[in-house]
Amino acid sequence: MAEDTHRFWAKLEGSTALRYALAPGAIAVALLLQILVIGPSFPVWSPSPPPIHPTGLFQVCIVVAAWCGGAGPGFLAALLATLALPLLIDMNYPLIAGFFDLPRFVAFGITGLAVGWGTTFRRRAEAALRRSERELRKARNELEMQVLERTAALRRSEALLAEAQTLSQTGSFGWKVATGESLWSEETFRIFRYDRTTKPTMERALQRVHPEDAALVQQTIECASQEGKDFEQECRLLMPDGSVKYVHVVAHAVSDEAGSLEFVGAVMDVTERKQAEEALRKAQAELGHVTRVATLGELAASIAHEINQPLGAVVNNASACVRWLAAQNLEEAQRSAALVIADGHRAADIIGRMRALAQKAPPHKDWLDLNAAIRDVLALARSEVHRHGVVVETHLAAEVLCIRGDRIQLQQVLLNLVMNAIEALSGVRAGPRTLRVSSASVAATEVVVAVCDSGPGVEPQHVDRLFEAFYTTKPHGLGLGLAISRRIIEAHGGRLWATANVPQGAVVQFTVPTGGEGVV
Amino acid sequence: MDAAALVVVVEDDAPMRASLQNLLRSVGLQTNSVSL
Repeated sequence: MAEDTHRFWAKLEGSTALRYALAPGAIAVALLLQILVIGPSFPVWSPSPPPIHPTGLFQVCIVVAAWCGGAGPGFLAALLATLALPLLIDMNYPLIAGFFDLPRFVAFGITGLAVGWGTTFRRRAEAALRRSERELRKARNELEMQVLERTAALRRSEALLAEAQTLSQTGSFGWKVATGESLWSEETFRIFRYDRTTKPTMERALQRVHPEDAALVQQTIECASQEGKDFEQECRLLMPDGSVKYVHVVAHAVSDEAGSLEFVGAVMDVTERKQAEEALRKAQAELGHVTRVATLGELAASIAHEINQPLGAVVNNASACVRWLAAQNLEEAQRSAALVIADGHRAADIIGRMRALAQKAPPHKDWLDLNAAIRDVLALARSEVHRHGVVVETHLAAEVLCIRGDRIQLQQVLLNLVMNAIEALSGVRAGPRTLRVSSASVAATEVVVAVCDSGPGVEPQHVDRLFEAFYTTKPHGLGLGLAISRRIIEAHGGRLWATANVPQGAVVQFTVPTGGEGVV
Repeated sequence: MDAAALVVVVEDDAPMRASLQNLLRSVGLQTNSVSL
């Protein structure tokens, strides 16, 4: 109904002709009412006054015309009423040109214009209000649509984030230090294995930290809270079922408007990565051991000869001792017995060096003298050196080269480099077969060891590939020795590389820091 | 065996060389040694 009314008024306001037609229509209705219903006016047709004065009736019609049509139709109705009024009543004052009642016209005109303008203003205000309402409603609808769309997008985004967190095993959290208020994502609950309905708190998270890591984690968090700095910590979690998880926590410190400190961060479950790293480390250690034993296997004949020497000397000296005793030359007998003991120690040393290299011990850092390690390796390879007619030159640093590292792994590297050099030199038909091993301190921060040979050398295009796994230039080589050697040296925080020797041959050298950081 | 005979031991390994000389001397031989 209200809509129909609005449409009627809209149609009326839109048609000027219709609005102005209201004026004669209203006056005609007033005339008809006056003549047919109220009765003829006085004094033309009736001797007594009618119950409603024609002036009042016209005023009503003018008001209606002005109300419905506006100021223009109201004014027109006033004009028509002024012209029609002398037909109905007798005027007691002179009219203009005998038919125009100016005072009544003024009164009618004021009525028509006032009502018309008032109505027009009211309608315009109402129209503006309606327009505003429409626009407001439209804006509200659009806003609701946008809210719905954004809510849907946000939910989808949240779902994707939750899925991504599950896939990447990374949970997020927020922690207000002052109030202790915490917020965890679903994945964080899963990582800490707490029920989703549990109220998240820092204390609950710390309850899951492995007892051996708890103090360190607590200290890290306290420091970060006091200094308001970001923190990063890797630690173990001990689950209620006794299983252990590894997590990596990264947190960013932010301050809100009030200056309160809040940490926003992520908890990554890195258990699988840790397990993979551990498996890789074990596999590498196994491989290192296998190649070490393989190298010792290559040395077996030489080492057998090396052990045979002191054993032969033991037999000779023991025989001599017996003869000196028979001859009652106690001094010589005593000297012979001492030589037996020395030769026995010598044999034991060789076996000890072999056993040390062959043993399958977990890597461990220790302080060691690199020069002593070089001498041990050269002693182990001595028979091989002699067998191939190689001349060994050593230029070791005069001072003790003390580094922190794994003795067995470093000796494995040295033995590998020495054996490679000997093998390269065995192919030299003319010229000297020289193997030079040198060591030196560099800038007091690292030590460099170089193994140079006068062999055929390495072609420049193959230098980089020498350290690739399974790449070999030997007919029976595995191609693992240098790859493992580089890994060992890099794990010690050093570098291993090869260059050409001058005038011929190759130089393979490595550095290790005197601090020996990063031993695996 | 001629006591004046001289046995020259040629051996690159010093302890082995020393033990051979010791043994030869214990049976009354004169020795000398050469290292390679």
